[in-house]
Amino acid sequence: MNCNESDTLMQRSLDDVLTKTERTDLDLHLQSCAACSRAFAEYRSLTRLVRGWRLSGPEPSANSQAFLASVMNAIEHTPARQPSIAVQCLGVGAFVVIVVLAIGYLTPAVQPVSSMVAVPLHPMGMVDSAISTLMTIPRDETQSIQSWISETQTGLPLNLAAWTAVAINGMLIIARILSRRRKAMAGGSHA
Amino acid sequence: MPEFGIREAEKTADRGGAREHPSDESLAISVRDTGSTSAFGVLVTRYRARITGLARKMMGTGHADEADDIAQEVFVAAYVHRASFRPGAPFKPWLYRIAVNRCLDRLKSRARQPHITDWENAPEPITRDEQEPLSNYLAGELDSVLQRAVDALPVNHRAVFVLRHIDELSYEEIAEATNQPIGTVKTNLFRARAELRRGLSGYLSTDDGMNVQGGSPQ
Repeated sequence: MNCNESDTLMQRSLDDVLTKTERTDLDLHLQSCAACSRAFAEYRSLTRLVRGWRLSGPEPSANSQAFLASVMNAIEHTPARQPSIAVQCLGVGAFVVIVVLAIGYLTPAVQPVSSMVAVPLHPMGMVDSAISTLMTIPRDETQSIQSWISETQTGLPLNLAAWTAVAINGMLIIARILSRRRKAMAGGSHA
Repeated sequence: MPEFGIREAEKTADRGGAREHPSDESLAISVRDTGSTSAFGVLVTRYRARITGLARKMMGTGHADEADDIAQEVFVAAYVHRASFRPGAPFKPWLYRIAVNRCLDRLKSRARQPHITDWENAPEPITRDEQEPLSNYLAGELDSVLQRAVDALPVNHRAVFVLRHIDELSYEEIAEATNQPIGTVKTNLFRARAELRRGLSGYLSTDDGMNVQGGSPQ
């Protein structure tokens, strides 16, 4: 055993985690190495010194009841980390309304079909181009198809956006309620 | 918030087994599950001195007055974050983790602040009262020297050393409290001891007349 290994064993000995074999090995090394023997004596002396230091020091300034009261008072006045569920739902709802309104006003579907320019990426633009091919269809039928498409264009995007937003909002609220309930089950409520 | 009847909590927190002295874990579960302030009060009473002592040793010379504040912050944080206590896990390392983190946060923020020596309020040098026994004076002097030596340790080494020697946590508990692998804990602890042995060599005995078989220091 060299002195580095001996140092590790000395320190483990201070923590009382040496095996019987390690103890014997260390003892044998200490008997033959004056430097390690001196170092081990210093480690033991340090341990005794620290034990005295642990027990020293002034008593805590406030008595137990006063300290406990101050802790409880601080807990009581610790601001909630999250707003109430009602406020959160209101916030989500307001956001959803804004999104729905924005989609509703910005979508080309609210414009008359005649004024629309076919936009390749917009599915309704493709419908418009399909309308022109339908112009060969007799006038009455064309008008009825056109009015149906116009109604669909006006209603569909708004409905889709609204229902999607409502669904997302509902899922958020349900997820939040479930999360709250799970936390309450795990210790959220006061005794 | 309900009144905290500590004796009632001690009797009721552990519904099975030791009713009069419920374990820390059963009290912690009670706090976690019901938010019981009375059970929490028992834990505060049990751990207050230890957490204050840890904070005092960690914060170092001249900052002992912060210890009570830190202890209060630790218990408030423990209550606020009680849901993070895992059933089946030991309570002590969980609480010490909060305490060590608080101390480290304070030490970091202190390190960021410019150092200004307050000569007006500087502590008086230690002087011996004629009526005080010499042994007491020397013990106080040694404590002061040891505290200064511990203050000089790197923060990670200091935390591990204090947790091992002042709070008598095991390697595993220290690993949990400091969020370090056990190997790192041992390395830091051994280095801290080696540094202290070198730094305090003039104060340490080189002959205690005992071999390894002579008994555990613990």
